[in-house]
Amino acid sequence: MRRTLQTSRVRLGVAKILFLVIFLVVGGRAFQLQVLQGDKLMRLGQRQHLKEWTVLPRRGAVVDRAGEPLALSLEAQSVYARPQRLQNSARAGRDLAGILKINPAELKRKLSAAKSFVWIKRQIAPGEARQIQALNSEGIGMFYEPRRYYPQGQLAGQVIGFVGRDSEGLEGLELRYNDYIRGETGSSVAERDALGRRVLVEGVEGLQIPPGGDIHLTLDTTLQHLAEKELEASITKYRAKAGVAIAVEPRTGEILALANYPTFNPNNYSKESAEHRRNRAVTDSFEPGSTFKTILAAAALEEGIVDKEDLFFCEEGKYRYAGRIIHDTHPYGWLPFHKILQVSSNIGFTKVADKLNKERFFKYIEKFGFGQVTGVDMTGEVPGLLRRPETWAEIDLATHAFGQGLSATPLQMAMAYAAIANGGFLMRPYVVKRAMSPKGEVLMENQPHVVRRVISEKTARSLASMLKEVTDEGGTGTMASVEGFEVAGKTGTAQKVDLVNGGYDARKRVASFVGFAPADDPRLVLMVLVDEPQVNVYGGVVAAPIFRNIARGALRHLGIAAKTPALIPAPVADTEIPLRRLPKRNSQTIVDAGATPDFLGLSLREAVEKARKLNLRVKMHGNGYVVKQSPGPGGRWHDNGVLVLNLQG
Amino acid sequence: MREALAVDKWICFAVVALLAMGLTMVLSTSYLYSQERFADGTYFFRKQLIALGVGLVGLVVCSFMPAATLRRLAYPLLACTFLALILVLIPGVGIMRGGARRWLALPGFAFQPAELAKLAMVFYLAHSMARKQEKIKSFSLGVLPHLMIAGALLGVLLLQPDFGTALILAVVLYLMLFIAGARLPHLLGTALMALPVLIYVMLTAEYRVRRLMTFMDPWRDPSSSGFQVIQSLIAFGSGQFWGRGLGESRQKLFYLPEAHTDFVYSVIGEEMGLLGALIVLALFSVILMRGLRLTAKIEEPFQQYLAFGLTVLLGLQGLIHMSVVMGLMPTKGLVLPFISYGGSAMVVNLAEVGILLGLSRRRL
Repeated sequence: MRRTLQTSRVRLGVAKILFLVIFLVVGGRAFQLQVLQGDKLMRLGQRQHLKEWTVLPRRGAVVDRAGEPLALSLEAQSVYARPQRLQNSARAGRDLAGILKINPAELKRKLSAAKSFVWIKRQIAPGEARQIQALNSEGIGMFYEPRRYYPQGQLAGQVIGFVGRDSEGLEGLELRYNDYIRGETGSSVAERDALGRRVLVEGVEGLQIPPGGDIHLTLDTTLQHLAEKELEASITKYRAKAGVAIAVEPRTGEILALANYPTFNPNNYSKESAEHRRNRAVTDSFEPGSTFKTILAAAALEEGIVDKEDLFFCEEGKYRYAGRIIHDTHPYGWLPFHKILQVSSNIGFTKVADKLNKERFFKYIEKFGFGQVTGVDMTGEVPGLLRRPETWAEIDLATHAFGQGLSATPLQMAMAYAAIANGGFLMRPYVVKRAMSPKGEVLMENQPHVVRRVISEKTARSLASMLKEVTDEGGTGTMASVEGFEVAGKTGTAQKVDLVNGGYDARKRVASFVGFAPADDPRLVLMVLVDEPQVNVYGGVVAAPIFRNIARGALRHLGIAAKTPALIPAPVADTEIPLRRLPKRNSQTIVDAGATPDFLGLSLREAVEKARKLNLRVKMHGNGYVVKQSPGPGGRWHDNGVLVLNLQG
Repeated sequence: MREALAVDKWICFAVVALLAMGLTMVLSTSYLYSQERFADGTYFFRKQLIALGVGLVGLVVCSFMPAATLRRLAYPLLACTFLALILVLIPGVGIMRGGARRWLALPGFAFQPAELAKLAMVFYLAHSMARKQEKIKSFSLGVLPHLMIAGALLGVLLLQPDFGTALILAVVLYLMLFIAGARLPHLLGTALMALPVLIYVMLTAEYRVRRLMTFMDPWRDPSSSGFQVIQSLIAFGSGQFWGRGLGESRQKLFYLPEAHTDFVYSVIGEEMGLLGALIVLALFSVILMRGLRLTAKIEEPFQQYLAFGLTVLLGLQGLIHMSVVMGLMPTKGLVLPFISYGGSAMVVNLAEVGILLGLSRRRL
């Protein structure tokens, strides 16, 4: 008995030592993990805690020159459900299906899933969010997620571009000015749990992500609307493939409107093809055709080798030059130089070019900015194709004279004409006036920038008066004339190069008209280009009327007085142009009884409020933001006195 | 009254301190989880409070039970345990959670017979070894019967399957045989013979093989089987010296599986740092060392063996839980006594403490 007890004591001692060793090992392991490897393990943890979930900064807005929003960042709500917490999932399903218009069967499957968290719908409209808020249902909730919204839809879509899911600008101004608009990044990480949801840990919520600043464009929404509408109408009428219309302020180089067809709505950028996204005004170059004769005329006048009244023999429509026959559409005999331009005689211009010589001609082509990018603050600009005179064959002097054998973007063409309009200065065009900080300070401002003087003011004036004749009786561009104003410009009808067979494709044409008004004090340069019109192909028929319609509305909108006041412009059919710029959104000014106030871009609630304040009868369609109103801003009231608003969102 | 309080103050203090930490950690680790599952953050916490109350009553009752009464309970307890362990295997009676049938549905709560098995086995072994004290040197009379009864108990536990509890019971069995004076060749020999069985059992269950591989190289595939160990190491290590602070664990946000039960020590390490981890370790060593000291003081064999068995039972559970969490042992799914969430374990553990305290009375 005693011996047993002895063994027991020894064995107890052994057990004690064994346990002490284990305690030391465990304690040592704790020291190893927490002190020796603590940093490493902590970093490993942070990698998974902080990964993926980034809090995106709120992007700044893109507004037009009057503050009209073209791109906004909304805090769109996303709806989720916690199926296990739903009190009455059948009723919740019915309610949600009704509000969000989603398939009830799929919703039922989601709500009855054995999950603690499911997304119901991402980025819903504000109206839907309010309704869901009103349900106040346990187990249904919403998170804020930033969402880019383009209240004007397709308006200037290719210029503005679009933003990807991670709030990075992918095209257009959204890309070009991403650094200003996006807001600061980097520190914008939040902790997340293992299910990938954001965790509201102290310190993270307080983290202020600096939002992006707004950018103010030179674009004028009203002109943009007008340009797009007129362009689309004509393109539809002539069954053309594509088209561009650009309005530029000649003295500054500010782009007032830039319309592309086909149109692109950045609100659903992922569904639109690249064909629609392209900003053809800068990304595509075309053979200019006869509009290029003006460049030759400018060079010849500036070099003093011709005078307005110098006579040229136009060979009765057929002229052999460098082994080729050059034709005119109508045969002419002796014509003064200004008439050659008015009727756009190829033969006349061949003779002028021959007199000038190719080196001098080329110098002016370059001085007018061809073959180089304009430097506009848009993405994807191409310089166009220009061959050096050393490589020209003899015939090339003639073809360049009437705008073949080189290519230019519509914007290059517009800027060349702007140089004639403003007295001889090639300006660098721009579409963003200034970029603001989130606090409202100006971070960057684009000032008018003279690239170079191209021609003297005397030459410019002389050329402008010649171009005026083009729209007069007997010119090729009479359809571009605007009642009450003198319009200077030039038509162009270019054949397209046949990419398959070489040479020119007889059926494919590019019709254009580029000019400015008023001719003696130009305030607006307008370039219109229609690609592959079908019904009629001539610039004077297809493009000139677009020019006229846009110019007429634009001049009135810009408040430029007609030269002949007796001739009061008749109301333009189905074009509602405000007589003057009306107060912008949020303005409470009561507008004069004659004109309709501007509701575009307002939210449903803001629109209702404004209508109540102004005591207007309003009819609304849809949800979200006002994208269309009838009558348009500043337009005349309908007889029934009701304002119709179309909303989208 | 003085008589009633004349128990081991050290054990008392350690258990109270562990219970206090335990309640804090259950609230901290289960809050988000139960918020997620039951939309009520304190659901687990309140259940744990009830278990604690019941357990404390049990502790007091047990501490006043005379040794003779305890000894008479040995066989009935063993019989009840077997019954419960067999019942729990029957589908419909036993509740299945996470691939194992471990719970018996009783009115109002679910009970884990495995917890009872730990107590029952220590009782049975203490009683039987005390009875066969002189024959303990004999293999057939002193060692084999205990191996067979305990083996049967382990067998039904493995059917659940509950490998972790079976392992603890096996270690307790050998430690008690060792203390009771069994010959070392008998112990080593049977242990060697059990090894092939152990390996067979390990390898037949695919998840155990995976756990073993994971244990050997947890970083091999961080996305799947190594996940639990890695998450546990990340949690424990990122506490560093001072810890993130109470309630500040990141890893409990569903990165750690069962943060409130099987991995509660990781969260202690993360929130309270090396300091907190070592305090818990020290408190367990206090229970163990005081329990062993008490064992040495007891002359009467049944009480001595009982004290030893209960002491190592509590200490081992703690040590194994901590080792698993720190990657020193393959993952097992063992709770940390007094701290982890779990009603059955809480009640049984406190009853064990009560018995230990009862044994310590009048001996200090």
